[in-house]
Amino acid sequence: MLDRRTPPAFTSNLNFGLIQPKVAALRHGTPVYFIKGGEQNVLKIELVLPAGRWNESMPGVAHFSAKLLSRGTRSKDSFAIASGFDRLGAHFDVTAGPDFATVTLYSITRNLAPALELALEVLTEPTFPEEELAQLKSTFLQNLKISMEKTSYLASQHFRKTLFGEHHPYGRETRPDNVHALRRDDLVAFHDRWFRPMLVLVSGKVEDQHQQLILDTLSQLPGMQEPEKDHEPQPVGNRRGHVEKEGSLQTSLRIGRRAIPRSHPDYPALVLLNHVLGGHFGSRLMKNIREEKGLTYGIHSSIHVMKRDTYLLIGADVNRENTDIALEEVRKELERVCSEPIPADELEVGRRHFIGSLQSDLSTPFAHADKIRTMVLYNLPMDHYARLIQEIDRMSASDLLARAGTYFQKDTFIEVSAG
Amino acid sequence: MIRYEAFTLDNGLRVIVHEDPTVEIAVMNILYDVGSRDEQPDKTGFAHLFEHLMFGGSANIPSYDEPLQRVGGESNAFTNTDVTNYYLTVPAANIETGFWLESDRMLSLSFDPEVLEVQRKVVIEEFKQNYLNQPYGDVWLKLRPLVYEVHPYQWATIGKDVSHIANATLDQVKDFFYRYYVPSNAILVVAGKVTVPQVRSLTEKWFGPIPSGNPPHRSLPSEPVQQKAKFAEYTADVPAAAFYQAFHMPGRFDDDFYAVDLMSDALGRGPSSRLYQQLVRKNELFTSISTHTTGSIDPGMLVISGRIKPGVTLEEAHEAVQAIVTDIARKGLEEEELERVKAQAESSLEFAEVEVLNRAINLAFATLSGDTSIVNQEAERIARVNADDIRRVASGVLRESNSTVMYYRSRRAQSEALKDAS
Repeated sequence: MLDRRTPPAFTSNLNFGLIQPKVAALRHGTPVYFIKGGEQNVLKIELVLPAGRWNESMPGVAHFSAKLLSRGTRSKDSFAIASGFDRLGAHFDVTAGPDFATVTLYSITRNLAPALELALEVLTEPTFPEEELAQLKSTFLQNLKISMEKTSYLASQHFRKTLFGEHHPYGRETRPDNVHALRRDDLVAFHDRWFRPMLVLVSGKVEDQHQQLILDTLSQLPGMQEPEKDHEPQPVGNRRGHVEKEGSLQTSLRIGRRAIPRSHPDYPALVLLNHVLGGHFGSRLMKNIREEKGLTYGIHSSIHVMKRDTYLLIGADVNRENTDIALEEVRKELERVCSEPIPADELEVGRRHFIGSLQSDLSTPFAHADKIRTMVLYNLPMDHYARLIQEIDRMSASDLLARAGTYFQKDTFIEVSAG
Repeated sequence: MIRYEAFTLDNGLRVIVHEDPTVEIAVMNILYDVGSRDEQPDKTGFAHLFEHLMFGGSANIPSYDEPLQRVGGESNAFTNTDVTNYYLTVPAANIETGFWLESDRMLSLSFDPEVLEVQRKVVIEEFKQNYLNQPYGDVWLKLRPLVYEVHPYQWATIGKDVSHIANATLDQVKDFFYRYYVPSNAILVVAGKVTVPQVRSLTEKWFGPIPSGNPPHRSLPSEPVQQKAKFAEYTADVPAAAFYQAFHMPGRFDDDFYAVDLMSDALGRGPSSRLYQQLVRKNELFTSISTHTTGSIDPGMLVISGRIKPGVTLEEAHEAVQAIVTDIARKGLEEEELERVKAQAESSLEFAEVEVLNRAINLAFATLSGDTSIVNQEAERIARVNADDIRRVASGVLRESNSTVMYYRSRRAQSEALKDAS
């Protein structure tokens, strides 16, 4: 008779089998990482540029520069560009984040040469057409109105503003008046100054001939020349905030605080504590607030890492009348992490799950590239993840308790609600 | 090309193995052939609620998630109109834990009343979070019953109404389980760093002893051919008016599915599509517009959805969409257009198969059609579609009598327009 009560034997290993990248450089010195893996005939080329919100002259410039880039070149209009990529089965996208802009080109290997050529034209000869700018603005303004109807958006905005201040690139929002004030010249100037790759990652079925082609083509882009800007966060004094949204059925909660960078010696402890608190489906917050009380569809705690700052954030949407109970339970869980050692079994499950999911992340060449991107951009040693796994593996409940007080005191958390 | 081997256990469980030694993980995907189309009209949302209950403990294992997390694994699931699909990922050495967990919950659930009480609340919060507390969140709740008059696709997978979920009883849960969660109604795919003999022996060991049960018999009313254009309008507190148009189209496994899907792409996939070029870029009637197909097994929908630019009326916008739709219905697509959407579709397929979990899900879904090998024929079937196929399906699908239009008016935009006028 089969014993269904006893779990099968299992093993745990601490491997982190990252694909060894081949490193080269563009003409101006920008590093290029080639990450070869996978069976499918596809490639992903990612360019990281210092063209994020951090370096923009006014709110919206980074976003609009990114989105307008592929809307016209000296010889092609937006339709010719879009259908050019589509015909090749390629996909081209530019997004601006808080610190960086990222240009991504997905291509099937056999069309790499023409796809790359078109991408280069878009990157080096954009015309930022006025009429396309006007259309993007009107779409943006409409989407902004729709976002303002979402309690999740309102709460997140208010939280970041409280944490970093309304003028800081991590805290400010792009308001309608910013959008109206944007001029084509702002975008042209921003592009000239900041659309210079600082890192290139190529992943997928990368053959030798692709490598040379990519190096030759991207070497035609300008190199980095300027130091980046400086900004100081100016947190708002109030620790609690509420955004009233009439007629909403649910309240969105955002609870968090600033934290430490990946390179900090306490970072592994922060990661594991966060994982146990709210970083996965079996976490305390999920168990308590979703699985025992049914107050929410989901509650998560996560670490948000930017280039110059980091914050911890707990987020959930709850029924309006349950707002106070949910908040109270979150505070209790924060208190418990700071005052009691994590029981051995719970710690073991959290630890194994964290290590296993980090290992399982590496199931595509693109995922390998993402890990390498993080290590390079945040100036981490190339064995960062391997070491993180080692440290998480040997961390004890008393190590964690000793550090919890520094990062999880409930009085240091900002509490924002919208609804 | 996805290589695989298939076999069937005596109890009727269909098993597919896909070896991929290049990854360090193993994935297990179990598809149960039951979706919201199998629900009673007065007990909707049940297949999805049930998916939540599957994580609430089984006959011999009080917690599903914790033992999986302990071996470094992760799992999730989704429910749609046609299927309920569960999947997990573990470091390859620990795949037996997956067999243990999945076979026990196929054998029997714990049927703990407390689990039902809590998950009922969780699903109601999910209903609110995704469908009621979002601008435009209720569009599908309104559009489906307009398009489908008799087929159960007339309700969304989340359910018609929160009350159906609130009223579910434990007896109904048990009936549902014993009816649908039997080996002969399931497809198991194991993929990644595993071998065929290993999977064969683990499957025999853990799933072999489960009684086969009776495969449920499905007999759903088929939706009659629509004879007359349909129209409805709503007014809601949203910032911008929105336009929706749906057409009945063939199901996922029909020979014409790919032709319609490509036509839908030419109409509204991305900025090179006709609708975007004409209505967002040239005429500036919409701020966004796109099309998609639902890809359901029974005849599905091709849906156009767009947001109207301030100052434009829904009537003007509708007329402009209709002109483009009518043009394609009459003339089909330009050769250049067809080649473009085919290149996009083939590339999307290639990219989707990069992830081993996607390959496993595709294998399970293909097996559901009765022929697993179709998983490797998609690219060829896309390549074979020609201009004549497009003309044939265009005149059938895009005819006006097959259309349902829904105006989603904005209370605010209307009052702002009135203010501007006065």
